[in-house]
Amino acid sequence: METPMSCPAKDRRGSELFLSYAAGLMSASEHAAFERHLAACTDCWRIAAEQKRVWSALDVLAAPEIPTNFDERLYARIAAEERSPWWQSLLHHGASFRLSTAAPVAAACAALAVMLIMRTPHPAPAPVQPAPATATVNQKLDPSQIEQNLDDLDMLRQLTAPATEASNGQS
Amino acid sequence: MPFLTPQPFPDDRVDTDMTAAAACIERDADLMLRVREGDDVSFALLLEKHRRPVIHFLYRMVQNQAVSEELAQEVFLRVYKARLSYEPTAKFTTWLFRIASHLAINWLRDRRNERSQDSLDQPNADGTHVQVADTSLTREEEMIRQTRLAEVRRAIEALPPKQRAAVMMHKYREMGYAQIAKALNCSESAVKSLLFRAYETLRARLAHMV
Repeated sequence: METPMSCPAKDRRGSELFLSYAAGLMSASEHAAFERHLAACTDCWRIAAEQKRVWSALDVLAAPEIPTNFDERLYARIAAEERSPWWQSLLHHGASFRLSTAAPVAAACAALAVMLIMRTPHPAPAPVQPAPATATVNQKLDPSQIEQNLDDLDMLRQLTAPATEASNGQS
Repeated sequence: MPFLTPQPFPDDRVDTDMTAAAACIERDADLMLRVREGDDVSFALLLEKHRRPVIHFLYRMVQNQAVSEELAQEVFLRVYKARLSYEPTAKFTTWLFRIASHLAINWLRDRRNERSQDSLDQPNADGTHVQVADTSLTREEEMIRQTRLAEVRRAIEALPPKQRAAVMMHKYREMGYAQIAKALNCSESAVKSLLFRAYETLRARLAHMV
């Protein structure tokens, strides 16, 4: 004989069940067991009905058409960014640079600079290295771009799962 | 720039088939690796595939068409600028939605701080209020639809930015808890907590709607 389901309204995992039920993500057996419980439990029946109404109410929020010139504008921006001198981007992004972030970074840089100066009694002449062939590649070094790329890549690095993982079967 | 017009993808919806999803993930990462090598056609393909879901996600987040388009431009610009250092350590879409949600949440927080958010009932200051009338409905039905829409928008606006992002990814992108957690840089249990609190708020505001 099948064990009756514990009441989701009183169970910590219950909220997850209500969401899965409203989203239609339950397996057939889970769905059947849940519906049997709903038929016998007024509290759960009410919550499930409310969740279903919310789920369908959210369908009304349609998204707009994509403007036809979206790509054109994006490519123009990319081209402009690649053409603009590094100091211009720095000024542009500098406006949104927060003092709370800047202050500790500046302090750390200053401390590091002082340490380096104090720990270098006789500056040795830097050996002259022949420039590698790849150094001839015409690449602009844009500090703000590097900073932003590092931020974006940091977001990528924090995602620990391997790229091949097909979590939830979704792309 | 030598961008070429790509062939359109048939659909931007999430494919639930595991094999297709895995192939899709590999394809996105593969395309991005080609972008890293300087292949702009691959970037155009990624843009074609993800443009619509990103704009729609951002629109539902910020509820302003002009802002959502601007933020979407920023998302793809950032992806392009990060191409040279790209490594496929995570799913491309998770990374993409992480950038998108990060930008949207920051925008919402800045707006909240500025205390200058437009009323959701009124057209936006830039005149870009969208919700085009459904021509298949009668005038009365259309009025009811607009009332429901305004109510839903107000309910969504009441959610804190991170809860809002979790709901948008859960409801409209059909993302699982794990993927939302990665996109929002938090644990799965934190995502569940965000979603439960958000849906509780929405139930209190919208459950009367039939």
